[in-house]
Amino acid sequence: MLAALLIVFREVLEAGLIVGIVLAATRGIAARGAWIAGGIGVGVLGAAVLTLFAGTLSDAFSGAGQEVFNAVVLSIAVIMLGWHNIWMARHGREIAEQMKVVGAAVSVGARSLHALATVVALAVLREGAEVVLFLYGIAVSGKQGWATLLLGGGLGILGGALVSFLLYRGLVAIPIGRLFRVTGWLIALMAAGMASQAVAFLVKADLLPSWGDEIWDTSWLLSEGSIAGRTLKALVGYTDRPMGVQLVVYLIVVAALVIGARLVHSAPSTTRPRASIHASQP
Amino acid sequence: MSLAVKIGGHGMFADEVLLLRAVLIIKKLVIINDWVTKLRTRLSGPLFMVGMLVAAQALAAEPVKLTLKNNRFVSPAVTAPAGERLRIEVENQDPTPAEFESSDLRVEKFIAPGGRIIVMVGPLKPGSYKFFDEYHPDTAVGILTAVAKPE
Repeated sequence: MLAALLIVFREVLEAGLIVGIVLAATRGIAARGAWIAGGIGVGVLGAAVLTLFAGTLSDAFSGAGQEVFNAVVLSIAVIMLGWHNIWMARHGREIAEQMKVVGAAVSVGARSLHALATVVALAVLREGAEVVLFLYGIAVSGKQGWATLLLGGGLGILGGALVSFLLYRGLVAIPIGRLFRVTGWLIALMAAGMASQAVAFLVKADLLPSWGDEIWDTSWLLSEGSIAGRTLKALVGYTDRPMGVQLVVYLIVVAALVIGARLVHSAPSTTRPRASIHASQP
Repeated sequence: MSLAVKIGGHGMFADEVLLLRAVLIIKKLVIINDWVTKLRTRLSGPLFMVGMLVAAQALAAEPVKLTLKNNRFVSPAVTAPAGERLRIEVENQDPTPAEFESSDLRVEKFIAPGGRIIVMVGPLKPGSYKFFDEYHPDTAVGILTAVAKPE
Protein backbone atom coordinates (compact mmCIF):
# COMPACT_ATOMS: atom_id res chain seq x y z
CA MET A 1 0.00 0.00 0.00
CA LEU A 2 2.86 2.37 0.83
CA ALA A 3 4.36 1.98 -2.65
CA ALA A 4 1.02 2.81 -4.26
CA LEU A 5 0.53 5.75 -1.92
CA LEU A 6 3.98 7.21 -2.60
CA ILE A 7 3.85 6.88 -6.38
CA VAL A 8 0.31 8.22 -6.70
CA PHE A 9 1.18 11.08 -4.32
CA ARG A 10 4.23 11.95 -6.41
CA GLU A 11 2.40 12.02 -9.73
CA VAL A 12 -0.66 13.85 -8.35
CA LEU A 13 1.65 16.40 -6.74
CA GLU A 14 3.48 17.01 -10.02
CA ALA A 15 0.24 17.67 -11.89
CA GLY A 16 -1.30 19.41 -8.86
CA LEU A 17 1.47 22.02 -8.62
CA ILE A 18 0.72 23.02 -12.21
CA VAL A 19 -3.02 23.20 -11.47
CA GLY A 20 -2.34 25.29 -8.33
CA ILE A 21 -0.27 27.83 -10.24
CA VAL A 22 -2.81 27.97 -13.07
CA LEU A 23 -5.63 28.57 -10.58
CA ALA A 24 -3.69 31.40 -8.95
CA ALA A 25 -2.78 32.90 -12.34
CA THR A 26 -6.42 32.97 -13.42
CA ARG A 27 -7.73 34.51 -10.24
CA GLY A 28 -10.49 36.97 -11.02
CA ILE A 29 -11.39 35.54 -14.41
CA ALA A 30 -15.01 34.40 -14.65
CA ALA A 31 -15.77 30.71 -15.32
CA ARG A 32 -12.19 29.64 -14.63
CA GLY A 33 -13.37 26.90 -12.26
CA ALA A 34 -15.41 25.21 -14.99
CA TRP A 35 -12.60 25.43 -17.53
CA ILE A 36 -9.93 24.10 -15.22
CA ALA A 37 -12.18 21.32 -13.94
CA GLY A 38 -12.88 20.52 -17.60
CA GLY A 39 -9.15 20.42 -18.24
CA ILE A 40 -8.66 17.95 -15.40
CA GLY A 41 -11.56 15.82 -16.68
CA VAL A 42 -10.21 15.71 -20.24
CA GLY A 43 -6.77 14.88 -18.84
CA VAL A 44 -8.10 11.93 -16.81
CA LEU A 45 -10.04 10.62 -19.82
CA GLY A 46 -7.00 11.08 -22.02
CA ALA A 47 -4.82 9.22 -19.52
CA ALA A 48 -7.21 6.27 -19.57
CA VAL A 49 -7.23 6.20 -23.38
CA LEU A 50 -3.47 6.66 -23.54
CA THR A 51 -2.79 3.66 -21.33
CA LEU A 52 -4.82 1.48 -23.72
CA PHE A 53 -2.43 2.46 -26.51
CA ALA A 54 0.74 2.55 -24.40
CA GLY A 55 2.25 -0.41 -26.24
CA THR A 56 1.43 0.97 -29.69
CA LEU A 57 2.74 4.39 -28.75
CA SER A 58 5.95 2.87 -27.45
CA ASP A 59 6.64 1.16 -30.79
CA ALA A 60 5.96 4.30 -32.87
CA PHE A 61 8.85 6.36 -34.31
CA SER A 62 11.01 3.22 -34.41
CA GLY A 63 10.85 2.70 -30.64
CA ALA A 64 11.10 6.36 -29.64
CA GLY A 65 7.32 6.92 -29.47
CA GLN A 66 7.23 7.71 -25.76
CA GLU A 67 9.98 10.29 -26.05
CA VAL A 68 8.43 11.99 -29.08
CA PHE A 69 4.97 11.97 -27.48
CA ASN A 70 6.28 13.48 -24.23
CA ALA A 71 8.26 16.10 -26.12
CA VAL A 72 5.20 17.07 -28.20
CA VAL A 73 2.91 17.25 -25.15
CA LEU A 74 5.45 19.35 -23.22
CA SER A 75 6.02 21.65 -26.20
CA ILE A 76 2.29 22.32 -26.58
CA ALA A 77 2.15 23.16 -22.86
CA VAL A 78 5.13 25.52 -23.23
CA ILE A 79 3.44 27.36 -26.12
CA MET A 80 0.16 27.67 -24.18
CA LEU A 81 1.95 28.96 -21.05
CA GLY A 82 3.97 31.41 -23.11
CA TRP A 83 0.87 32.63 -24.86
CA HIS A 84 -0.88 33.13 -21.52
CA ASN A 85 2.04 35.13 -20.12
CA ILE A 86 2.18 37.47 -23.09
CA TRP A 87 -1.60 37.86 -22.95
CA MET A 88 -1.41 38.64 -19.23
CA ALA A 89 1.24 41.28 -19.85
CA ARG A 90 -1.41 43.10 -21.86
CA HIS A 91 -4.47 42.41 -19.71
CA GLY A 92 -3.17 41.62 -16.22
CA ARG A 93 -3.36 45.17 -14.91
CA GLU A 94 -6.79 45.65 -16.44
CA ILE A 95 -8.09 42.52 -14.67
CA ALA A 96 -6.52 43.50 -11.35
CA GLU A 97 -7.98 47.02 -11.52
CA GLN A 98 -11.44 45.82 -12.49
CA MET A 99 -11.37 43.31 -9.66
CA LYS A 100 -10.51 46.02 -7.16
CA VAL A 101 -13.46 48.08 -8.39
CA VAL A 102 -16.05 45.34 -8.86
CA GLY A 103 -14.76 43.01 -6.18
CA ALA A 104 -15.79 40.02 -8.26
CA ALA A 105 -14.69 37.97 -11.23
CA VAL A 106 -14.38 39.80 -14.54
CA SER A 107 -15.44 38.39 -17.86
CA VAL A 108 -12.30 39.20 -19.88
CA GLY A 109 -9.77 36.44 -20.28
CA ALA A 110 -11.82 33.57 -21.68
CA ARG A 111 -9.20 32.99 -24.40
CA SER A 112 -6.39 32.76 -21.89
CA LEU A 113 -8.49 30.21 -20.00
CA HIS A 114 -8.59 27.94 -23.06
CA ALA A 115 -4.81 27.92 -23.19
CA LEU A 116 -4.41 27.20 -19.49
CA ALA A 117 -7.15 24.54 -19.45
CA THR A 118 -5.15 22.80 -22.18
CA VAL A 119 -2.01 22.98 -20.02
CA VAL A 120 -3.92 21.44 -17.10
CA ALA A 121 -5.33 18.69 -19.33
CA LEU A 122 -1.86 17.83 -20.67
CA ALA A 123 -0.30 17.76 -17.19
CA VAL A 124 -3.05 15.49 -15.86
CA LEU A 125 -2.77 13.34 -18.99
CA ARG A 126 0.95 12.70 -18.53
CA GLU A 127 0.96 12.08 -14.79
CA GLY A 128 -2.39 10.28 -14.86
CA ALA A 129 -1.16 7.81 -17.46
CA GLU A 130 1.81 6.99 -15.23
CA VAL A 131 -0.48 6.40 -12.26
CA VAL A 132 -2.77 4.11 -14.24
CA LEU A 133 0.11 2.11 -15.72
CA PHE A 134 1.74 1.76 -12.34
CA LEU A 135 -1.40 0.67 -10.51
CA TYR A 136 -2.23 -1.71 -13.35
CA GLY A 137 1.29 -3.13 -13.12
CA ILE A 138 0.90 -3.83 -9.42
CA ALA A 139 -2.64 -5.12 -9.79
CA VAL A 140 -1.84 -7.69 -12.49
CA SER A 141 1.21 -8.93 -10.64
CA GLY A 142 -1.37 -9.98 -8.05
CA LYS A 143 0.76 -9.31 -4.98
CA GLN A 144 -1.70 -6.81 -3.57
CA GLY A 145 -5.45 -6.84 -3.40
CA TRP A 146 -7.58 -4.21 -5.08
CA ALA A 147 -8.70 -2.81 -1.72
CA THR A 148 -5.22 -1.93 -0.46
CA LEU A 149 -4.31 -0.62 -3.89
CA LEU A 150 -7.34 1.64 -4.03
CA LEU A 151 -6.78 2.80 -0.45
CA GLY A 152 -3.13 3.62 -1.15
CA GLY A 153 -4.02 5.35 -4.41
CA GLY A 154 -6.84 7.30 -2.77
CA LEU A 155 -4.61 8.52 0.06
CA GLY A 156 -1.96 9.45 -2.52
CA ILE A 157 -4.47 11.55 -4.46
CA LEU A 158 -5.66 13.27 -1.28
CA GLY A 159 -2.11 14.02 -0.16
CA GLY A 160 -1.06 15.40 -3.55
CA ALA A 161 -4.21 17.51 -3.81
CA LEU A 162 -3.70 18.87 -0.29
CA VAL A 163 -0.14 20.07 -0.97
CA SER A 164 -1.26 21.65 -4.25
CA PHE A 165 -4.13 23.38 -2.45
CA LEU A 166 -1.70 24.77 0.15
CA LEU A 167 0.46 26.17 -2.65
CA TYR A 168 -2.62 27.80 -4.18
CA ARG A 169 -3.69 29.32 -0.85
CA GLY A 170 -0.18 30.63 -0.33
CA LEU A 171 -0.20 32.26 -3.74
CA VAL A 172 -3.63 33.88 -3.48
CA ALA A 173 -2.64 35.43 -0.15
CA ILE A 174 -0.51 37.76 -2.29
CA PRO A 175 -2.36 41.05 -3.06
CA ILE A 176 -3.95 40.86 -6.50
CA GLY A 177 -1.84 43.67 -7.96
CA ARG A 178 1.37 41.78 -7.25
CA LEU A 179 -0.07 38.27 -7.68
CA PHE A 180 0.01 38.35 -11.47
CA ARG A 181 3.65 39.42 -11.48
CA VAL A 182 4.51 36.47 -9.21
CA THR A 183 2.47 33.95 -11.24
CA GLY A 184 3.98 35.43 -14.41
CA TRP A 185 7.45 34.53 -13.18
CA LEU A 186 6.32 31.13 -11.91
CA ILE A 187 4.75 30.32 -15.27
CA ALA A 188 7.82 31.54 -17.18
CA LEU A 189 10.10 29.27 -15.12
CA MET A 190 7.65 26.37 -15.34
CA ALA A 191 7.46 26.74 -19.13
CA ALA A 192 11.26 26.89 -19.39
CA GLY A 193 11.51 23.75 -17.24
CA MET A 194 9.03 21.93 -19.47
CA ALA A 195 10.92 23.01 -22.59
CA SER A 196 14.17 21.70 -21.12
CA GLN A 197 12.47 18.37 -20.28
CA ALA A 198 11.11 18.22 -23.83
CA VAL A 199 14.56 18.54 -25.39
CA ALA A 200 15.93 15.97 -22.93
CA PHE A 201 13.35 13.51 -24.32
CA LEU A 202 14.44 14.32 -27.87
CA VAL A 203 18.09 13.71 -26.94
CA LYS A 204 17.11 10.31 -25.53
CA ALA A 205 15.29 9.56 -28.78
CA ASP A 206 18.51 10.45 -30.61
CA LEU A 207 16.83 13.32 -32.47
CA LEU A 208 18.87 16.13 -30.89
CA PRO A 209 22.50 16.42 -29.80
CA SER A 210 23.08 16.76 -26.03
CA TRP A 211 25.83 19.43 -26.22
CA GLY A 212 27.39 17.92 -23.12
CA ASP A 213 25.69 15.09 -21.27
CA GLU A 214 26.37 16.35 -17.76
CA ILE A 215 27.24 20.02 -17.38
CA TRP A 216 27.21 19.76 -13.60
CA ASP A 217 26.15 17.27 -10.91
CA THR A 218 24.19 18.48 -7.89
CA SER A 219 22.65 15.10 -7.08
CA TRP A 220 24.64 15.05 -3.81
CA LEU A 221 22.84 18.25 -2.77
CA LEU A 222 19.34 17.52 -4.05
CA SER A 223 18.52 14.34 -5.93
CA GLU A 224 16.09 14.70 -8.80
CA GLY A 225 14.33 11.52 -7.64
CA SER A 226 13.47 12.81 -4.15
CA ILE A 227 10.10 14.41 -3.43
CA ALA A 228 11.73 17.84 -3.02
CA GLY A 229 13.70 17.32 -6.24
CA ARG A 230 10.60 16.29 -8.15
CA THR A 231 8.66 19.25 -6.76
CA LEU A 232 11.35 21.66 -7.92
CA LYS A 233 11.47 19.85 -11.26
CA ALA A 234 7.73 20.40 -11.78
CA LEU A 235 7.92 24.03 -10.62
CA VAL A 236 11.12 25.37 -12.17
CA GLY A 237 12.53 22.44 -14.16
CA TYR A 238 15.23 21.41 -11.68
CA THR A 239 17.62 18.77 -13.04
CA ASP A 240 20.54 17.50 -10.98
CA ARG A 241 22.66 16.65 -14.03
CA PRO A 242 21.56 18.91 -16.89
CA MET A 243 22.59 18.47 -20.52
CA GLY A 244 24.03 21.45 -22.39
CA VAL A 245 21.09 21.65 -24.75
CA GLN A 246 18.70 21.77 -21.77
CA LEU A 247 20.43 24.83 -20.33
CA VAL A 248 20.41 26.61 -23.69
CA VAL A 249 16.69 25.95 -24.26
CA TYR A 250 15.84 26.92 -20.67
CA LEU A 251 17.54 30.29 -21.01
CA ILE A 252 16.02 30.93 -24.43
CA VAL A 253 12.46 30.30 -23.16
CA VAL A 254 12.88 32.48 -20.06
CA ALA A 255 14.41 35.27 -22.16
CA ALA A 256 11.70 35.00 -24.84
CA LEU A 257 8.89 35.19 -22.28
CA VAL A 258 10.42 38.06 -20.30
CA ILE A 259 11.29 40.09 -23.40
CA GLY A 260 7.97 39.23 -25.06
CA ALA A 261 5.99 40.41 -22.04
CA ARG A 262 8.04 43.64 -21.88
CA LEU A 263 7.45 44.39 -25.55
CA VAL A 264 3.70 43.83 -25.27
CA HIS A 265 3.55 45.81 -22.06
CA SER A 266 5.35 48.84 -23.44
CA ALA A 267 3.23 49.02 -26.59
CA PRO A 268 -0.37 48.55 -25.43
CA SER A 269 -2.07 50.67 -28.10
CA THR A 270 -0.60 48.89 -31.14
CA THR A 271 -1.37 45.40 -29.92
CA ARG A 272 -5.05 45.47 -30.74
CA PRO A 273 -5.19 45.65 -34.54
CA ARG A 274 -8.83 44.51 -34.79
CA ALA A 275 -10.12 47.04 -32.31
CA SER A 276 -8.18 49.89 -33.88
CA ILE A 277 -9.40 49.06 -37.40
CA HIS A 278 -13.00 49.27 -36.26
CA ALA A 279 -12.34 52.42 -34.31
CA SER A 280 -10.63 54.18 -37.20
CA GLN A 281 -13.46 53.53 -39.62
CA PRO A 282 -15.70 56.56 -40.04
CA MET B 1 -21.16 29.66 -35.56
CA SER B 2 -23.24 32.00 -33.44
CA LEU B 3 -26.24 29.78 -34.14
CA ALA B 4 -24.37 26.75 -32.88
CA VAL B 5 -23.53 28.60 -29.71
CA LYS B 6 -27.18 29.54 -29.20
CA ILE B 7 -28.56 26.07 -29.86
CA GLY B 8 -25.86 23.95 -28.30
CA GLY B 9 -25.09 26.19 -25.39
CA HIS B 10 -21.59 27.07 -24.33
CA GLY B 11 -20.64 23.71 -22.91
CA MET B 12 -21.59 21.68 -25.97
CA PHE B 13 -19.83 24.03 -28.35
CA ALA B 14 -16.70 23.85 -26.22
CA ASP B 15 -16.81 20.04 -26.26
CA GLU B 16 -17.00 20.01 -30.03
CA VAL B 17 -14.04 22.33 -30.30
CA LEU B 18 -12.04 20.13 -27.93
CA LEU B 19 -12.95 16.99 -29.87
CA LEU B 20 -12.01 18.67 -33.14
CA ARG B 21 -8.71 19.76 -31.64
CA ALA B 22 -8.02 16.24 -30.42
CA VAL B 23 -8.70 14.86 -33.92
CA LEU B 24 -6.41 17.51 -35.41
CA ILE B 25 -3.65 16.69 -32.92
CA ILE B 26 -3.88 12.97 -33.74
CA LYS B 27 -3.72 13.78 -37.47
CA LYS B 28 -0.71 15.98 -36.87
CA LEU B 29 0.98 13.24 -34.84
CA VAL B 30 0.51 10.82 -37.73
CA ILE B 31 1.99 13.40 -40.10
CA ILE B 32 4.91 14.00 -37.72
CA ASN B 33 5.48 10.26 -37.49
CA ASP B 34 5.75 9.99 -41.29
CA TRP B 35 7.91 13.08 -41.38
CA VAL B 36 10.34 11.79 -38.75
CA THR B 37 10.62 8.41 -40.49
CA LYS B 38 11.26 10.15 -43.83
CA LEU B 39 13.73 12.53 -42.25
CA ARG B 40 15.54 9.66 -40.62
CA THR B 41 15.93 7.72 -43.87
CA ARG B 42 16.86 10.86 -45.78
CA LEU B 43 19.32 12.05 -43.18
CA SER B 44 20.82 8.67 -42.38
CA GLY B 45 23.41 9.07 -45.17
CA PRO B 46 24.67 12.57 -44.34
CA LEU B 47 24.27 11.98 -40.62
CA PHE B 48 26.38 8.87 -40.91
CA MET B 49 29.13 10.92 -42.56
CA VAL B 50 28.90 13.62 -39.91
CA GLY B 51 28.84 10.96 -37.25
CA MET B 52 31.96 9.37 -38.68
CA LEU B 53 33.73 12.69 -38.72
CA VAL B 54 32.54 14.36 -35.54
CA ALA B 55 31.63 11.58 -33.16
CA ALA B 56 32.82 8.25 -34.45
CA GLN B 57 32.44 6.78 -30.99
CA ALA B 58 28.68 7.38 -31.07
CA LEU B 59 28.24 4.80 -33.82
CA ALA B 60 30.86 2.36 -32.68
CA ALA B 61 28.98 1.36 -29.53
CA GLU B 62 27.49 -2.11 -29.29
CA PRO B 63 23.99 -1.94 -27.76
CA VAL B 64 23.54 -3.07 -24.17
CA LYS B 65 20.82 -5.73 -24.17
CA LEU B 66 18.71 -6.40 -21.09
CA THR B 67 15.87 -8.84 -20.62
CA LEU B 68 13.15 -8.84 -17.98
CA LYS B 69 11.71 -12.22 -17.05
CA ASN B 70 9.71 -13.23 -13.96
CA ASN B 71 10.06 -9.61 -12.84
CA ARG B 72 13.86 -9.90 -12.74
CA PHE B 73 16.68 -8.88 -15.05
CA VAL B 74 18.04 -12.08 -16.60
CA SER B 75 21.60 -10.72 -16.41
CA PRO B 76 21.52 -8.03 -13.74
CA ALA B 77 25.20 -7.05 -14.04
CA VAL B 78 26.33 -5.66 -17.40
CA THR B 79 29.37 -3.73 -18.53
CA ALA B 80 29.61 -1.09 -21.24
CA PRO B 81 32.31 1.21 -22.57
CA ALA B 82 32.58 4.61 -20.87
CA GLY B 83 32.96 7.83 -22.80
CA GLU B 84 30.64 7.06 -25.68
CA ARG B 85 26.99 7.30 -26.52
CA LEU B 86 25.28 4.11 -25.45
CA ARG B 87 22.21 2.36 -26.78
CA ILE B 88 20.30 0.29 -24.24
CA GLU B 89 17.69 -2.21 -25.38
CA VAL B 90 15.32 -3.71 -22.83
CA GLU B 91 12.98 -6.56 -23.62
CA ASN B 92 10.10 -7.35 -21.31
CA GLN B 93 9.23 -11.05 -21.59
CA ASP B 94 6.68 -10.87 -18.78
CA PRO B 95 2.91 -10.64 -19.24
CA THR B 96 2.99 -7.59 -16.92
CA PRO B 97 4.03 -4.06 -17.84
CA ALA B 98 7.34 -2.67 -16.61
CA GLU B 99 9.07 0.68 -16.35
CA PHE B 100 12.79 0.73 -16.96
CA GLU B 101 14.09 3.36 -14.59
CA SER B 102 17.44 4.67 -13.47
CA SER B 103 18.10 7.96 -11.76
CA ASP B 104 21.84 7.33 -12.30
CA LEU B 105 21.30 7.08 -16.05
CA ARG B 106 18.37 9.54 -16.08
CA VAL B 107 16.01 7.10 -17.76
CA GLU B 108 12.34 6.44 -17.07
CA LYS B 109 10.58 4.48 -19.77
CA PHE B 110 7.47 2.33 -19.87
CA ILE B 111 7.67 -1.17 -21.42
CA ALA B 112 4.46 -2.91 -22.45
CA PRO B 113 4.00 -6.61 -21.64
CA GLY B 114 6.10 -8.49 -24.19
CA GLY B 115 7.43 -5.18 -25.48
CA ARG B 116 10.89 -3.87 -26.19
CA ILE B 117 12.31 -0.37 -25.79
CA ILE B 118 15.46 1.40 -26.90
CA VAL B 119 16.97 4.31 -25.02
CA MET B 120 20.08 6.39 -25.61
CA VAL B 121 22.31 7.40 -22.68
CA GLY B 122 25.75 8.77 -22.04
CA PRO B 123 28.56 9.30 -22.82
CA LEU B 124 29.09 7.89 -19.31
CA LYS B 125 31.96 8.42 -16.93
CA PRO B 126 33.58 5.22 -15.65
CA GLY B 127 31.60 3.93 -12.69
CA SER B 128 28.54 1.91 -11.74
CA TYR B 129 24.98 2.87 -12.59
CA LYS B 130 21.99 1.29 -10.88
CA PHE B 131 18.81 0.54 -12.80
CA PHE B 132 15.50 -1.14 -11.90
CA ASP B 133 11.94 -1.86 -12.94
CA GLU B 134 9.88 0.73 -11.12
CA TYR B 135 6.93 -1.63 -10.87
CA HIS B 136 9.04 -4.36 -9.25
CA PRO B 137 11.83 -2.46 -7.51
CA ASP B 138 12.43 -5.19 -4.92
CA THR B 139 13.23 -7.95 -7.44
CA ALA B 140 14.11 -6.37 -10.78
CA VAL B 141 17.34 -4.51 -10.04
CA GLY B 142 20.65 -4.37 -11.87
CA ILE B 143 23.92 -2.51 -12.26
CA LEU B 144 25.60 -1.24 -15.39
CA THR B 145 29.35 -0.75 -15.05
CA ALA B 146 30.93 1.72 -17.42
CA VAL B 147 34.56 0.82 -18.08
CA ALA B 148 37.13 3.16 -19.60
CA LYS B 149 38.56 1.86 -22.87
CA PRO B 150 42.24 0.95 -22.83
CA GLU B 151 44.26 3.38 -24.96
